[in-house]
Amino acid sequence: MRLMARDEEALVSEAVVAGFSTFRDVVEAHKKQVYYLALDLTGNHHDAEDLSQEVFIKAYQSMKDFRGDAKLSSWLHRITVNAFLDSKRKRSLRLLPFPESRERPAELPFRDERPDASPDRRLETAMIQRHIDEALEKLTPRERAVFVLRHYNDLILRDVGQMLNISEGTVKTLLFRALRRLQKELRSYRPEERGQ
Amino acid sequence: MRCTECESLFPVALYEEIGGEELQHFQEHLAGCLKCSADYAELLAVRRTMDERRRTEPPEAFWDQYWEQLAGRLESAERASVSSMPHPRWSSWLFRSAAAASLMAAGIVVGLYYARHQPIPTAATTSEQQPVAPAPTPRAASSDDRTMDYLRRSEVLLLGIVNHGASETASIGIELAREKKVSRDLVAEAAVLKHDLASPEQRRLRQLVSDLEIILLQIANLETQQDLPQIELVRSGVDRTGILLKINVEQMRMADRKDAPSGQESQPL
Ligand SMILES: [Zn+2]
Repeated sequence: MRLMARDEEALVSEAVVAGFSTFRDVVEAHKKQVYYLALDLTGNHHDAEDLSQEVFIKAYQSMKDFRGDAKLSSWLHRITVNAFLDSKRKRSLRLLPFPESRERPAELPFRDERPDASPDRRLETAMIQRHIDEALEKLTPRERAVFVLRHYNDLILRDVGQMLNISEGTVKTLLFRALRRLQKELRSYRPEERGQ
Repeated sequence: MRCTECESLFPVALYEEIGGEELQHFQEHLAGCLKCSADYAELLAVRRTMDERRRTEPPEAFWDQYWEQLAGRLESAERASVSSMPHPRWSSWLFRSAAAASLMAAGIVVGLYYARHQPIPTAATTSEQQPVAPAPTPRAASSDDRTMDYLRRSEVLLLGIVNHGASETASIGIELAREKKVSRDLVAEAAVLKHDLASPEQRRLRQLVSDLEIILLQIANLETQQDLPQIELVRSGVDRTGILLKINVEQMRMADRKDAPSGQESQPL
């Protein structure tokens, strides 16, 4: 009981320092970060929404596991990645294939889509996104987790290892495998052939 | 540097996590090895391509409704396992926004529930039935402090009852002896506490102590052997009245009041 109270104290003080006064504030402050990592991992809006909410529920329910020496954001990152890997594990145990992306990114407006871009250019952008998404889908869950943490979330390899509870050596191996697989998947698509 | 060694450095080189002599050797090898440099160039191209990925931004409405969606799921998750409430104060954070509505609803449920189900023994009648222990009321402590302590002990007791596993029912009679004793003590304290919670702003606390008293009396009155259905009644009473939630909310309010003047945190646990 004591320990729990102290752990929570650490969180409370961090939350207070950061200006949070309610759990809702914590959610509001971290929802985008958690959602976008979930999106990197799952590849589609529906699963990302689901995963991100699961993360906050887990966070809420396991405050006692929060270690004051970690940042709240890294802790949430860790929960996100582990919840993702867990869900993939469970799905593969049930021998269910990972569902096809229900929403292709192209169905939603691109964040940086320039309104002045020509239709050709926009179509091409959509094609690239599609290629990339399909390539990412070919990665194993662990490869994907390592890749998106390093590539899209700027975590150094040592931190990725800590987050996934694996050695830095294993992280490098997984990253290498991910890159090779992406290379293979993207072989049909060469940036230099797009006349850029 | 051999080709295999060079290749093993591709990931760290690609993400610029290499430096010093190692980087120098790596670059030297690439400069002199067509195979490795071509291979590395291809991976660099992969990296650049992956850079072109754009996350799709959900519509603003998604963010606007995010909390509401989550709160719904959180609340049902919480209901499913009251035991997983990590700590009253943290729990209260979640419920802060929903507190007013919940309290109102809980109040209505309390009324309906007890009007329909219970011939409720009053504090006066039970003091005859129960050997009531003298209430430990340290005069020095403020009524807020004592209420805080009172709520904490009640909460522990109720959580124990609510989480009493079905497999333990065989030994329930023996185990409940302690809970019954605690309940009797708390009931006895309630009378004093209610008397002390006299000011208008303590009305809500007084009400909560009264609500609690009803449940505590039920526990105190449980009869050892044939009370398995009875304990279910207590559990559903705890559940339906939302009494644990009310305790949480009051603990949070009191903690906030306590924090406010001094800025010093004092943990109830
Ligand atoms: Zn070589």
